[in-house]
Amino acid sequence: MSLRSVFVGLLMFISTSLVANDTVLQVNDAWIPEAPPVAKMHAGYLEVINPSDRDINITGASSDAYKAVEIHQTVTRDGMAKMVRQQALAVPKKGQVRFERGGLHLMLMHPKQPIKVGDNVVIQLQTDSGQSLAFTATVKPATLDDHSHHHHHH
Amino acid sequence: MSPEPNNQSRLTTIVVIAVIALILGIVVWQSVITKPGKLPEQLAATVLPQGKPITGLSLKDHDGELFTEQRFKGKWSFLFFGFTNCPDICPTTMLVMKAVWAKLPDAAKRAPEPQLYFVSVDPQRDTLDKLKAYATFYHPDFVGITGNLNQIDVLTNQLGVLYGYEDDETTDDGYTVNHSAQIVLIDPDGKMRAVFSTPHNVREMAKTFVAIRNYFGE
Repeated sequence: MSLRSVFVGLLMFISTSLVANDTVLQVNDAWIPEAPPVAKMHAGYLEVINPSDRDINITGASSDAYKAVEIHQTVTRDGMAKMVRQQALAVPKKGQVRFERGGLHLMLMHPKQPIKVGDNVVIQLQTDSGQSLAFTATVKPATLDDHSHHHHHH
Repeated sequence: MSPEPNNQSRLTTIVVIAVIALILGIVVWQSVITKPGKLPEQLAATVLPQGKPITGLSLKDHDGELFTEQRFKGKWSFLFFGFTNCPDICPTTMLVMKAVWAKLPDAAKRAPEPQLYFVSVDPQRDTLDKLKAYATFYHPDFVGITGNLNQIDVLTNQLGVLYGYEDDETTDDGYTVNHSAQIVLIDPDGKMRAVFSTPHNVREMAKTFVAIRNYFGE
């Protein structure tokens, strides 16, 4: 083991501890709809909760499973749909932000391997305070049902 | 009693019966021979009462077969537009149509079966093979179609569908695609007949298609 990898490992340990102590954002119900194998772009849906007393900005996202991850909002105006990249996304204090179909989504770009139902993908969110929050999104069958709406029974 | 008033009243009776029979006949004719009832006023689509003939198409379906307006003849066709690198709105629309399909009563799915076409407005990246893999992933009956931009424009211009490219340095090819999100319904005469705008409600769309098919017929 080189000195460098020990150093990196130490850094990772410290940052994980910081995350455990200081990160106040919580992620619930993160999932990725199964996508056609030819699709180079996937979507990630989740709910982010901020139980703290201050607004927190999400400034970026990343995942080892994808070349890049961005936060996008589908905007439909006059019947025209476009995706608008969000450089920063505010999660209000004592509030929450929901990523869901036809609205906010994680744009998971260029998967390094094909995804299949049951896979767990680790994704990180970065915040404006320099923190990183890791969570796991599960690949689920592509259905219209919003998997995060557990409390709704229609 | 004189015979005259008797004849008069008999004549009156015959005329009244004839008029009633005529009215009944018209009512029966209208309800049986022509269109049954009226279109409900609350529809999940904008209906074109006269329809708009679609002409001049020269596209390819995902099996490489020529796709012209002849393919619309004899069947109801749903068309929607997008591209395979679209992760949110296109899969959602695909799943909406799949759910509408599942909700349609057998009567509305009876032969000639309605068709579902996914039109790629990104032919540079969406090869026919890729289009087929994408469309059939969502439903085995979905058919992808595309063509060069001029050929696509012949269709989109007639349907009032918009699309455009926008620079996006994060994708390999440097652009992303914006596009209309409506679903267009073509009737079995090859006329544009209705437009389903967003947001798409599965149950309302299924009900609306049943009403439209019943009203305009095969």
